[in-house]
Amino acid sequence: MLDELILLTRKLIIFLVEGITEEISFGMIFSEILKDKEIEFAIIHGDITTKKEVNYQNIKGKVKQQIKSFLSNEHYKKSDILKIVHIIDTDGVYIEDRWVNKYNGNNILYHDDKILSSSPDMIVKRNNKKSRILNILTSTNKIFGINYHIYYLSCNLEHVLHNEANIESENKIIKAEEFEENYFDREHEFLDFIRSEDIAVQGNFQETWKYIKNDLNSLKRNSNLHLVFNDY
Amino acid sequence: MYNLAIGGDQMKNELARILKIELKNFKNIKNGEIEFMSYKNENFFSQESDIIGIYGQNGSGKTALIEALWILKYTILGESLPDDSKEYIYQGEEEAVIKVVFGLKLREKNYQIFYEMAIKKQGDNSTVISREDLSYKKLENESWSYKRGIISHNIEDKENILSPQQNYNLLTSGNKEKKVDVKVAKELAKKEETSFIFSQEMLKIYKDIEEFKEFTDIILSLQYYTRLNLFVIRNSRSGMINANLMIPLCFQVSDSTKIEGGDLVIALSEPTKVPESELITVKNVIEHLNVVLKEIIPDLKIKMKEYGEELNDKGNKVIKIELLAERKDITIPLRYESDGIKKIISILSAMIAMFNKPTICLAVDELDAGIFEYLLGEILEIIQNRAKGQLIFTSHNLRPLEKLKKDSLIFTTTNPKNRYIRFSNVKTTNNLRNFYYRGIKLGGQNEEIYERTNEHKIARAFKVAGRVDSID
Repeated sequence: MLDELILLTRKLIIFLVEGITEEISFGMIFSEILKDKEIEFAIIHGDITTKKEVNYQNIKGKVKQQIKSFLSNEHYKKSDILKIVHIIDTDGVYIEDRWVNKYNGNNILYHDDKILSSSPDMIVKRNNKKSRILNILTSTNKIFGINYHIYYLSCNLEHVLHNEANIESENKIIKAEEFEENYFDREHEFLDFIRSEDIAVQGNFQETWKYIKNDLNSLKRNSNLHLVFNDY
Repeated sequence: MYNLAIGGDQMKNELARILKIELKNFKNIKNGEIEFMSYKNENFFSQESDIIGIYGQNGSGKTALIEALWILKYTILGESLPDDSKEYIYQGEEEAVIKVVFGLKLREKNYQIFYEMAIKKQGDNSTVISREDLSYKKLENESWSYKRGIISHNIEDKENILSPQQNYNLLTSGNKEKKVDVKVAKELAKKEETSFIFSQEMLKIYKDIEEFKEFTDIILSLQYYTRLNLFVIRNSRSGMINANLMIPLCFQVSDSTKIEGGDLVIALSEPTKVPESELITVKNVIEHLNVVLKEIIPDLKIKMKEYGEELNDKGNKVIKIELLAERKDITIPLRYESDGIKKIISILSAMIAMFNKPTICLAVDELDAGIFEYLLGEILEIIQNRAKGQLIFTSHNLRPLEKLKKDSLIFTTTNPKNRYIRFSNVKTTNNLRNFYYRGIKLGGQNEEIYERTNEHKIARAFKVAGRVDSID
């Protein structure tokens, strides 16, 4: 009887990202590719791994807090969530300290083989903290009882999408909108892009992370985001 | 400016309730059915509150229900269809149908009354009430009779003027003159775009026939009910209020001898001229609503300022009045009050009547417009727990979902063939507001309740549209 036929609830994928730039760049594309699901972007407003109050001991709890407050604001239940996809920038955090050099500019500059900063000590400290936290998160597959995986953009979002690692903040949104527009009505072609040899790191989830932790790889243009779309 | 109705004493002990409304090809509804809980529970003559709140995305058929009630009201009152009524017919369809079931207690008899009307296009622009059917079930020895016809007709049918034949015979008594009268009444109804059953001409015919009296009573009491007890507040009223043109006060006040009700329309932009004979009604209504108003909006009172008498064109004495809003020491013209407050004032008298009388049905489009969410929730909770009458409302504000019983809530679907549903699978512990949000995003009901929108595409579209702008 038709009356008793209840439509299945769609499942939800939450993309946990740093800022609005990620949502602009990926939102439309992901929602089209993953049309059979619902997707939501939970925006952290900043890099959770470098926040003052966050450390490798409490990181899982902090991510859980983000998820919990998102679910409550958006009226979802835990059981609605298929998985959490956490997307982060690598920021070259796995390179050896000797590749962090001093220069007299205001901004941190990411090169393929080095990071330049006016205060290298700060960068070294950050790298230690963030890499330690990422090591915890990469070996985490459940948070708050929900499937969780963390994926990387190396060395950052703009590097992967626009092949420019050092875009001024004020241009980031413009670039993100251009990227979105470029894929309008041909969203699936993004899969070719993210799977292309220039970007996609080969191997399974753990292998891709192992790769990025080596040498200067966390400064190079790399990503394992394609793994999210394995079934598409 | 006035639309007053006065009901006599004899009708006071009657009870009429709307039990069910069904729409076919009406506006964007191919099929939609709404049953009050009292109908589902077969409590046809309930003396308790019966609320229906309709929720759904923009353009999904919430307002259509209120408009159907509005058409129903004026059809039963024997008035012509509105000029734009062809717009009420689902595009590409021939006719729109409104079906209503009433519970009616009349002279100690209990009825279920079934009324069905069809609006059909006639030529390019006009419409006609093409078919009507009025029938009833009667409670006899504690069980319901079969459904029996009172009058049913097809306006185009010149041979069979009305059925059942038995009632046609009753009304015409085989008398040639009477037959002509009925035929003329039918042609007039077609020409005037009114109901045939509820037309002035037919009313005159019914009244003469003693054997038809039971049905005449039913027909008259339906008219009495729709005139005095069925309040339909369409959104166009808010337009007039917000533009500060006028404030229609829908009201019902009664004392031991009579009931008065209707719409009292008072201008906001200039003083209104009120016939001397009606001034007392205006005063009563204001006094009546001030009792509740000051509790809803602390310290607010409506005052009437009189500017003296003059004679109108017909030589009758009229009093010029203006409505003022008084809060503590400050008095301002009512037009300077907020839209939300004016809206509350506009429906408050009818709401008070609905609170106190089981036979009143108040249907309000966008009840939440301009009303503070918390207050809306409180008022609805009070009505649910304490009121006696019926309330139908549409709303976008979701607070009522947390306040009302889930059976009181109807949701529009994306399926024109099944426009209205109640939720299934709701646990008593579910917060219905959260449940609704999840349903919008994730589905899970028999029907989809939200035509999916993509926030990312919306954002992009804003951006793209802005680009078009800057080219100009």
